[in-house]
Amino acid sequence: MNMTHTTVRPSGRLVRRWGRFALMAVVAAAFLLPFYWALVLSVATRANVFTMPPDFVPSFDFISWVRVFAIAPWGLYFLHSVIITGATIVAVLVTGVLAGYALAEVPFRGREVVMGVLLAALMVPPEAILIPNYVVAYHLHLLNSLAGQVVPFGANVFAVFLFRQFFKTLPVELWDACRMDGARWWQYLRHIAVPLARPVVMTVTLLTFVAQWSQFQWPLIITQGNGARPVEVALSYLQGFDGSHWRELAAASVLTLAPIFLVFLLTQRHLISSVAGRAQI
Amino acid sequence: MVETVPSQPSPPPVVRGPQPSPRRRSVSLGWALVLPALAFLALFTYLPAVLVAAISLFQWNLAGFGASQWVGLHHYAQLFNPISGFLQSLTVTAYYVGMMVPLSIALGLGLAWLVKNRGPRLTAWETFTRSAVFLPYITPAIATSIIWIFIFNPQFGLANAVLTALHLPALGWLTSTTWALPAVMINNLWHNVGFMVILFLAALSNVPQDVVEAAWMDGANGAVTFWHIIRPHLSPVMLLAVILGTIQAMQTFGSIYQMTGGQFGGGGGPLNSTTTTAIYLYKSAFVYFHYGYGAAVGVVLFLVMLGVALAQKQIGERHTFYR
Repeated sequence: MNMTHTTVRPSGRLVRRWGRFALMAVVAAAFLLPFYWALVLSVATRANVFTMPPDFVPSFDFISWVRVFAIAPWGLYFLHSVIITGATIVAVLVTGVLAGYALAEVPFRGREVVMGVLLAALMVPPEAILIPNYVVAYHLHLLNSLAGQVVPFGANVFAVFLFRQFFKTLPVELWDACRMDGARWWQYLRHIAVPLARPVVMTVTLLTFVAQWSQFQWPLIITQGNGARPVEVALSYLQGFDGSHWRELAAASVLTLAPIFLVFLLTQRHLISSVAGRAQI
Repeated sequence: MVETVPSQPSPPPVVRGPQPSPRRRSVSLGWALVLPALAFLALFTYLPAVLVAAISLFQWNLAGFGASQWVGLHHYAQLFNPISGFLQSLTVTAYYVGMMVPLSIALGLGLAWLVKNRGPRLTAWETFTRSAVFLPYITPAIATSIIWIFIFNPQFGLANAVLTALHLPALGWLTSTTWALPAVMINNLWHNVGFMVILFLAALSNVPQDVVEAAWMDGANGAVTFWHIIRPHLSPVMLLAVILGTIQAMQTFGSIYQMTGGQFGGGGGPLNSTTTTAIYLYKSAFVYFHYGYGAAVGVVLFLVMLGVALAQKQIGERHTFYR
């Protein structure tokens, strides 16, 4: 039996190899198909939208792209989302660097307690505290504002721990040398430690970008009207009121997906390893 | 630029012991540095975690405690009265989580196996397939849910086109109380499985290859090798996948809201067939404005999630090898 096993193997292996390639191609196509279909729908002519079976050949009619900008102020929504995402990234980086540095390199009484308290924050499911968060935002006058979409996400425990882990790996001599030259801790942090931590900065930036760009439930409940509405919520309303306008909806969806695609194409490897690292804590 | 840290002949390693700076200063410096992070978390994590329990005991008015009416445990009594629909939402959640966790783990493991590098380096095909599977995970759920609403359109959607091509009966999908939740599941499987693939890829690369080869030499077939050699090596990651998958599934909101008519009364339709606890909580507070009652739902959700995590940890520790 073992004999037949080995004699069959070469051709069997070839079949398996090509089978695997075919399967990978099918899987990749299946996962990308929804995106492709959205693109096709967004440039379809009216006659090509409601067909059975669906039409997969793009007809390059850009009328819905023109119309979607006429329906709603997408530039404004984009601006909101960009401001919210950018400000959150800055806040998470600053709070993460400072706290991470303190927990790694500044021995102070109560450091263990702070570590424990931070870890406890990870145990709180965001969904469960939705209502008290809303109550707090109400009393801080953060409802219907851009700041109200930044402050609740301004510190991230994972970012703190990432920076702490990194700063712990820096040799003590580095700080000693800086101190000899008369540098203070913030100069050391700004000119030496943080530039060295560039991969961590990148990881935190990417993860915060992805999380904030996709933020939905919180802005849904705290924004009314166009004052502070981000793209995701605007898109949700568009579907609610114009659900039958597939082409415009598809165009708007592609519009909000575009920044994510772009960042993914540029930083693919780093992004994937960031998400992998996120899971390990 | 700064990467060129001068590698001078270093003195014998200095242990960072007592700093020359007086202890008091470093105490205050340490606290000052962690303060910003703690302040953000205090406002939107620690305080709310306490507040949620307090609010649940009141007929809450946004103006504050003074304007709210104390009702004690009344909301909790309501929760467990079948008329309120809360128990039904727990059932729907259990169904959703109970399907999503095993399915996403099975699919994730299968896909990880498929795109695992066979040689020392990744081929272009493996990289491409990995990217394609991962991409949905980072896309905003509303945008992709809208695409899935098209796909599940009973008349012109892709899903029914596939079923018809296979000579199967077309389904009502999102308009059907039976098939609406499975439609949401398919969307979220597609959306989230990339995360599982990444988890399992890391785990699979840790399986010692010589042990696997030894098993092959001894005539073990694929299934036996998987079950007895590879599976035990995966068990720590499997536990992680179960916990993270459960937490994620229990908190799913955006896709359900969007696919089940969120803009028309908060989602969860048709006939509450997709009203999970997350949707139920949202509707209680932000459609019907019963903040106190919603907070009670939040407390129960909190406890259930904590209980699930602890239970899984207990069970997992008993059945997990190779920590």
